[in-house]
Amino acid sequence: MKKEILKQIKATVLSKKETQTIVGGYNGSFTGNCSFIICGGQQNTAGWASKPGCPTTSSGRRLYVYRPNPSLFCWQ
Amino acid sequence: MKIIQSYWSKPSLQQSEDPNSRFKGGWLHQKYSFYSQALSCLSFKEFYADVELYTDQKGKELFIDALHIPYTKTHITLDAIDSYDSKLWALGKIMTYAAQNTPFIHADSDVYIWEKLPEGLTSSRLFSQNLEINFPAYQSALDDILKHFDWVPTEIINALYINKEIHAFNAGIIGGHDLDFFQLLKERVFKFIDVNSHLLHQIDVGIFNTIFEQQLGYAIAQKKQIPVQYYLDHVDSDFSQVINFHTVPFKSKYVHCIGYAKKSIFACEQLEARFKYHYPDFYLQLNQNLKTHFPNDNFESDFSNQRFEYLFTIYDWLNQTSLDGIFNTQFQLNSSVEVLQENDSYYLQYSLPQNGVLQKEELKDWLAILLYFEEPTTIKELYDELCEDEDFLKEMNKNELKNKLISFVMDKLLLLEILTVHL
Repeated sequence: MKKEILKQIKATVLSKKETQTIVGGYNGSFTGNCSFIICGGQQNTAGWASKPGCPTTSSGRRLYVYRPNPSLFCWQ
Repeated sequence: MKIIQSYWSKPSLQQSEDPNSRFKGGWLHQKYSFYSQALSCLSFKEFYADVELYTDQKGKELFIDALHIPYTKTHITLDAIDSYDSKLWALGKIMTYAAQNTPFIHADSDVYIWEKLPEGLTSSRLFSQNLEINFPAYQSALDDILKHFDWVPTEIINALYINKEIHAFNAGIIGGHDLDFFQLLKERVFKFIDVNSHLLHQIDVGIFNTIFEQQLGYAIAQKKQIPVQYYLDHVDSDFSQVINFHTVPFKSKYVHCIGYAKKSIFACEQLEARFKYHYPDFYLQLNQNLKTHFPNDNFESDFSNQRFEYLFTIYDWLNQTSLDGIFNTQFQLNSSVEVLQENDSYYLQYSLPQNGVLQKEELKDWLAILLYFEEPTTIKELYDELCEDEDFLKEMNKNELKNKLISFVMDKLLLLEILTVHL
């Protein structure tokens, strides 16, 4: 089992970035009328941006509609 | 060397939905901005005798008179910019740099340290946290500025022409002894803003702050041929290298909770836990003062005592353990975590320790490593098996692999409780 897993992960360890739970940065705040925040962590399981007319991806990352409601940040 | 911090109250108090604004300090809840200010001040005081605050009257009343955050000296200077747009949150920093008449280190209030900054860095002419080349935030906002503004500093245009890409420095920490540089930066920033103040509504003002502080600052240094020393050699645009709460203190001695990390429940939890762990008396005192000053607000913790106890047990262990000690410790998948097989894929199902929300994630890429921990396993065992493959090591430095594996395991242990350790 372990060997199988290792075979599987070796290539991906080389090619993918380590998954970290907390990431930050700044990626712009407004595009047109869309207000959004990007949660770059793979673990963030928020809903996809669904505001009509708003972009859903940028630089390969997921974009989420930003709402100034603490309970809705990063996952919902 | 003195540490200075700045707090212009207007951006923090002005309601804004812009995630790059500083309403509530940019944090998930207002209380985290207070915890952050306190932890930042206290952590710098561990290593520096003088930690001074530059603020306005409201800031002084809040942080000094009401919350008693223990700055060694307070300067009330920032009422002078009260007429400026509250979205220009970096203006308070620019003013504060220029107010200095001796070498200084300015630290943002979302920076915390576990060791003194290198003397070679802080005694230099000009230093900052790290270089940023073509970070994604700048391009779109810069396009709008170039399109709409009446005037853009020639330093920015020349730097773009010379570098053929956007260069900037991150100012999480910034300082040095070239005080003329900071005077010039202030002059150019105020002209940049004043000439275009009627056009701010046409651009992303949140990102404009990073442009006039970090991009213009870099461009002025380049024009004046001022060498810039950097604390960190390489930082990605997601700043993962500076938000390593999970490798404090055995590897990370510096955390900058930058940008949208302030909106992460994981970062807010680690901030509160570290504050409560390192300064338990002041944590209680601050919360009491907050309840007195803001009687209508709730300052109960979002996290359970059980969760804090878990974290503090791990923190205690990390305080006493070396990197090699962690490397040789057995970790195992938490018994509450379920590994599900659906078709040809594996999934991990677990509850977030911060709020109990159920998560289900496919075990692919780096996450597939977690399968290895179905049985008690050390990071060294995993590392040794990976290192047996010579082809693998052609592409990956051994030390880099070791550090990445430790970071990965500690992230899943500390932040998510997917892994457990028997202490």
